[in-house]
Amino acid sequence: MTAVVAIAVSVLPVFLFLGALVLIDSYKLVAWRAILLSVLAGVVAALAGYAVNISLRPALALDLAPYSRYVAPVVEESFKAAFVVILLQRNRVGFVVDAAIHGFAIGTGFAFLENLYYVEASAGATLWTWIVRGFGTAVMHGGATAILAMIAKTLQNRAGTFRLSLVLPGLGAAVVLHSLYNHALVQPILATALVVLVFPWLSIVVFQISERETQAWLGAGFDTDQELLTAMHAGRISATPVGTYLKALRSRFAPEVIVDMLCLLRLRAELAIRAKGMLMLREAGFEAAPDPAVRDKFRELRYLEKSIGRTGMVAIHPFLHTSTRDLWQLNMLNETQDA
Amino acid sequence: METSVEQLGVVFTVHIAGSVDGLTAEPLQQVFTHELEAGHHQLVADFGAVDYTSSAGLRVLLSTVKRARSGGGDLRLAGPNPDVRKVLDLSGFTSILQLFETVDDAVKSFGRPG
Repeated sequence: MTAVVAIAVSVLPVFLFLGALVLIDSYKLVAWRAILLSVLAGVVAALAGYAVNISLRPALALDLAPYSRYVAPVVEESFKAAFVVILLQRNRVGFVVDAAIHGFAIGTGFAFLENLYYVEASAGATLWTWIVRGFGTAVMHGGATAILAMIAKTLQNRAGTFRLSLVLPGLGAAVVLHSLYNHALVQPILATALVVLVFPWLSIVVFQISERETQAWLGAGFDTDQELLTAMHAGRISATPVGTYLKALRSRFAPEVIVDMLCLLRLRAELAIRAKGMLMLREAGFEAAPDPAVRDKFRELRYLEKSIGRTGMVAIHPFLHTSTRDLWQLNMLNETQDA
Repeated sequence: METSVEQLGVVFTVHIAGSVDGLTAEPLQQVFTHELEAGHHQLVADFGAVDYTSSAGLRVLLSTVKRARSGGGDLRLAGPNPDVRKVLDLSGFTSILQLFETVDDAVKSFGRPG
């Protein structure tokens, strides 16, 4: 068994799984650059996990079997979860399907380095070993972190904001899955077959649910933003709840700040329509041409936020759509202009 | 919403009146599908009497453009009111859909390249 074959069999399958996940996502909301970053984060997590594992096992005086069943899954899944936390905290993940792709990419990076290490350390291993490591262990690493990220994103959607505690249930699930796999309850080749059969099926179900959710959010959000904007352009804003609220703020803020607030709301609605329009075009298989005006609008947005000030921003917070998905769409649009 | 179809040479114009929303998008889709299945791939959507279109209406336009283009034709939009035009501009749809002031201009555009 040459090292090249061992590397190919133990490393390629998980990358092929990752590629398939990206291809079946019809919205293609996760850029390749972001996926690569998640893979790199997985590599870093593997390095950190290795460093902790080699010092923690002697310190705990545990044999390899109990350590790999009960301690290593906690250490490794926690390091992999760290980048998921960063992504969710910065509103870089719009939908559950995107969370799955990022999570699987992190697991891919982790498995990549781990399997390279095993190829180096186990020169005499048979082809079956590399099949189990490539199709079983590596896909398990990707799948466990994908499940962690999907659960965390679902909870974040329900909460409407991010808290560290929202990652804990997903982390628990990933640790249990990882630990079960390491228990070797069935023959390794059977465990590998289970992973290979279950993961694609699970992915397709999750992707279909997420796609329906995306379509519903796009439709409802687009129509709400359009109605607000039409009311503003038609001078009917004073008849809307936003207009009534802004009138109430007149006694507390200078007139020019009130005007800036109105401009900010209009600009946010315009950018939201642009972002959702871009997604609808992508859904239909089209790619919108970049619009230089979008960059100017983001510049204007930052100027208005500064001009309105912290207190003013707090005052109009009830009418600023600031759910994690609303903020994500602005991040996504901004990054698309930079790309 | 009411629709009627008019043939001008090889171009078929779908005249639409009223609102295109979640309730009326499906019947509109059926009108376009009927034309496409009859082999009419050069289509004009007359939006002159459309007062509002929701995301459901825009999805109908996109799927029709896609099918018409794959059949070698196109769907072009004529006479949208300023509100509809503004939304089409903001959403980036005008980079995909060709817009014309009148039905006549849209029909004639099929005789010109590009």
